[in-house]
Amino acid sequence: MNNAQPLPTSRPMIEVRGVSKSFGENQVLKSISFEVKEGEVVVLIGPSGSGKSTLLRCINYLEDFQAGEILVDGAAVGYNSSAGGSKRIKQSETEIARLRTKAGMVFQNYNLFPHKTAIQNIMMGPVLVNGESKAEAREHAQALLAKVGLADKANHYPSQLSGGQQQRVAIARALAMRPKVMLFDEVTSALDPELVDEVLKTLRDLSTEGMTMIIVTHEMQFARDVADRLLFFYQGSIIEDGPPNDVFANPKTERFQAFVKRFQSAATAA
Amino acid sequence: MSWLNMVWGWLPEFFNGFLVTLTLVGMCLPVAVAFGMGVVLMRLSNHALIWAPTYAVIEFLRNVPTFLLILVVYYGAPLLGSRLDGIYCGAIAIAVQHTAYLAEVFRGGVSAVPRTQWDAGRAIGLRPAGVFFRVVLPQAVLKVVPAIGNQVVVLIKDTSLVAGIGVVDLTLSGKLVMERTAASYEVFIVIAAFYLVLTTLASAGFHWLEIFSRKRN
Amino acid sequence: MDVAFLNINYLLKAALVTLEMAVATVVLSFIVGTALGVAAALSGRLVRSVLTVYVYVVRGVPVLVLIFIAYFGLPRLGVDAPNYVAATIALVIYFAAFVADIVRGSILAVPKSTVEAGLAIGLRWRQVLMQIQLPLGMRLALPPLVTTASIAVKSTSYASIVGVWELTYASREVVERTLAAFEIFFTVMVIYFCICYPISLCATYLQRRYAAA
Repeated sequence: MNNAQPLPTSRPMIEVRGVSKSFGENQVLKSISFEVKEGEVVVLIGPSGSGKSTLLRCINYLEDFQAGEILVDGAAVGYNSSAGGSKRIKQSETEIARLRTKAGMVFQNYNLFPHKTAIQNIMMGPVLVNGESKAEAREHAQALLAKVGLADKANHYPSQLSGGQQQRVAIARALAMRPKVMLFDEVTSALDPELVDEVLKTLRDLSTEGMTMIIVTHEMQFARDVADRLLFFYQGSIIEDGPPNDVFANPKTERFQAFVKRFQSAATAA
Repeated sequence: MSWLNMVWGWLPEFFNGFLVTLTLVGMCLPVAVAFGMGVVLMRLSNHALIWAPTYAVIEFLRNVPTFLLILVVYYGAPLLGSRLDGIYCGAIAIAVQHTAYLAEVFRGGVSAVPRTQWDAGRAIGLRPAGVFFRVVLPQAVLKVVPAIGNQVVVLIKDTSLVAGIGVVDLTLSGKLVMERTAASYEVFIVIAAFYLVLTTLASAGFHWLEIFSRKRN
Repeated sequence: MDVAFLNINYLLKAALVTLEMAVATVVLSFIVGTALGVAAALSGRLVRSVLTVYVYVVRGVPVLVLIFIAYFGLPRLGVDAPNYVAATIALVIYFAAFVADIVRGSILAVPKSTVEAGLAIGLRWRQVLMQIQLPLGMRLALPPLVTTASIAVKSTSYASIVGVWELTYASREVVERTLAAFEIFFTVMVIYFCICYPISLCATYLQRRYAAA
């Protein structure tokens, strides 16, 4: 009898190669390159305006980028290269929409649809995009709500939920599309302190289940605990990259040293 | 073009009508603004005996057609013994209704000033009246300049209703020209253009006023 | 006030005509206006500019002038329509502009972040429009639309100036016959108030519930 083991995927889940982006005169991403393996949890940290959120939004093409390539699960995002590899051809709306289903995104301000209940929010993607039947979608949505600890809030409207609850519904909504990777854009920044923990717990659970995650956050302690790798962004470039303990213990750059010092003094002050 | 000559021939008639329209605006607007400010003070009073009837009258006036008010004055004035010209009937009715409209606009402006401004005023020692006139009112006035601009445009357009009681304003002058010449509805397109110029000037004026008052602040 | 009671049937019949005209105006202008507004929200600069010009002209011209244009113009164009048709056409053209402007503004006022959330789960633009922008946009549009409806109801009284028999015209007839101006007009104002005030209360309620935060 064969002990058939799944072949390890040699291909990274996310590949970012030489991505540059400018808003007018202002270049916010300067030839960013990195890879994320399947099941890895990568946390992007850095000062405001350093480009980390913008990069995240490029991965599911909510932002356009002028140069470089992004591949999610092997498929190019936003542009296809022509045969020679020299020209970029913009993808069609259909292609882009389909690729977006591979990456689930959770936003800082939850962005739930206010005119739908929690469970309807979660069901929308599966029904409208994947063509699932309402019954199937409802069952799946109910399971996801239970997973994030909100089984009893299925028929509540977003306005009836706290910030932390809304964010967990938003996570469930993203998970409903069975994405290969989850993108989290400062998902606790808009929450009252008491509500942050419940959301971080959900993120922790997801990471132990083996979901590939890219998280942009200001929560340093959480970043250290949960990240397999930390990427420090500064003015559009990645200047530190490595496991949290390495990076904190041996910062290579002055900037990050300063950043670490500020974090540590804040931690001791708290 | 003979068409242009035709229009040129109409202009003197229109001009007289235009003057009547301007007179109406000139009579009604200042009155409505002044009385509107007075009425809003009554509306904002803390005494139920004052604000309740004021509220009732304002709501009543805002929910009846302007033309009907004009008719009330037109047919009612003789019964009270006065022999008012049509133009004054129109002026009274429009001024009264726009007083109500403007009172509501002012009230909206006052409500829009944040509560914190009241607190700040009291904190520096002003009494309620002082807070109102020196802190809240100036800010409210600034916020409502655009809304007043809109109301002025509405007032200009409402003056056309006096045509319904025979006052030869810009609109009715068009009808008279039409009956006298071979032209028909084209006359009113020219009339419409006149109104458009007038309302554009008024809007532009208020836009400028808004910018000017912002700079002063 | 006996005069008022004696004539109340006549006046109420006329009030019914006013209501019919008001309903026709509101329904037609809302249908046309919503179609125009949605089209303008989705289209490029050209369509949007056309709408802007249309709204600008309608905003700057009195309703009565439009009614006159329709009333005197239709026969000249060969259309033989009764006066109330001409008046209604003018009113519809007038109010459709306001409705279109409100609808266009409301659809565009739906927060970009909510639209992005739809895109992020893989919705196509057409789905985002139907599932997110239209439902949420129309909610934002309701308060100003209801206010516009109230203004439309009052505007039907201007049709009396071109001879349409409705409440204002009828009240003038009765007053000229009985000379009891105050009693009759007061009664008629009450009738108009009873139609318009509930609409304005509706608008206030909707404003509280659905207006943009």
